[in-house]
Amino acid sequence: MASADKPINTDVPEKDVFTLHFLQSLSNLRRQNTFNSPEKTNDRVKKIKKAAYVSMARAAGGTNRLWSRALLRRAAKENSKVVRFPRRKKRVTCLRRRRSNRRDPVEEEEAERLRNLVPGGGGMETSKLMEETAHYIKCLSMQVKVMQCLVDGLAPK
Amino acid sequence: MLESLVSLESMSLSSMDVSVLERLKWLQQQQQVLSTTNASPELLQFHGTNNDELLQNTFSHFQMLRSGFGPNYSMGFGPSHEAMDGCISRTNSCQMDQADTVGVMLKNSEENITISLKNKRKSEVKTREEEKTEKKIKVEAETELNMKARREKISKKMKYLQDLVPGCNKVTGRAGMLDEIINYVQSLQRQVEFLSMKLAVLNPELELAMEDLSVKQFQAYFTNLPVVVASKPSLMVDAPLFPLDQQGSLDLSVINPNQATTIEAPSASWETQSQSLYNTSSLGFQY
Repeated sequence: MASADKPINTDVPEKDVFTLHFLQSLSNLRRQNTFNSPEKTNDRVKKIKKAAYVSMARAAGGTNRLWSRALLRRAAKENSKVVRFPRRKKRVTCLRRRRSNRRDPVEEEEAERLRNLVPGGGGMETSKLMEETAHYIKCLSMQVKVMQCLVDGLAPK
Repeated sequence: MLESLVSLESMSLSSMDVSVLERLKWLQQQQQVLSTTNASPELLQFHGTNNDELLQNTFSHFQMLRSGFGPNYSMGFGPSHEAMDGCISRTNSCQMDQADTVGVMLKNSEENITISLKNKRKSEVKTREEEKTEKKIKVEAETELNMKARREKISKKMKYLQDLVPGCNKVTGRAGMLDEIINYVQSLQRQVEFLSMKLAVLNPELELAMEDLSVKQFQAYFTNLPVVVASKPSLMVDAPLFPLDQQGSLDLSVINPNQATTIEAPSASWETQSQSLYNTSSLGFQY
């Protein structure tokens, strides 16, 4: 999913992919022995949440998107795993060049908040940040739909 | 006398660099003239005669300076002119030692040399500074263009985001839009958290219902039918499946065309597609 210069490319894969990844991660979680003890609900919640995000990141762009990469890296760090991403031809992490051009104090204040929200936002230029936010929003909404369906399906009738 | 003259000239020195050099040369010439004449009576004569010449030269020089400055400086030179006249009258009346005059001349010339050198350096520094400022102006112009291009890019992407985020059309202005976007992202993240909490609560049911045949159970969930282990899943398995490779890789391109429908409650097409998905996962699909 390389982003072209003129048209903004924010294609998001279909729900199936999301569901698949999420369910697989859930089943992986389930295989853990200590998962379903009723006392540790909070841990479970956190794990499920993390599983949701990670599966979303994998489903959505894998390593092609900056935010997904940052998410996966963050998750791997928590598990103290070393994640290696395949090298891209284009240097995505070419930061801090032409520092003077980057600053525009009016926008940057608001961009700061976005950066805090979107994973991996700290190392992006503002225009790139916008693209990543758009893709992130699409993927998040997809994930929410998937989870909603799952919950609805599991809800006691 | 000469000191006062020189002081007057030094006041104007800082602004007129070229004239200082001329003055220097003239002073050096005068020094040479003075040094050649060593005999006292000659000096006296020289002093007597040359003084007027000196004064006349300084006066002419002042006139040069004055013309060079133009009308602005005429006022400044007016009083100096009078002062010079006063000086001239003073010199005619008082008797100075030749040595003193020579010493004074020498001292003044040294001062003038240093002052002229300083001014040379200042002029050089000024040209360098001018170059620097010119460069700065060019760089600033370039950055201005870059900033404009950046801003256009960012505004284009903001418009795209605006279409994406529901309810962003009413708010105008960049700040409001960004606020809306941020709120939307936060709400989505909160939703994920909330749903994961729900799932965590429901998870034991999931666990119980799930065995190794987990995939087929999910099919049941997604069709909102009660979970029956035996009969229902078989029905779903018999449902038409999408074409799949034998290795179990998913042929997503076939599934995609039906995804245009937004699914809040699972629609029929999506159920069948999810069935196919889960069948493949049971086949051992690995990503």
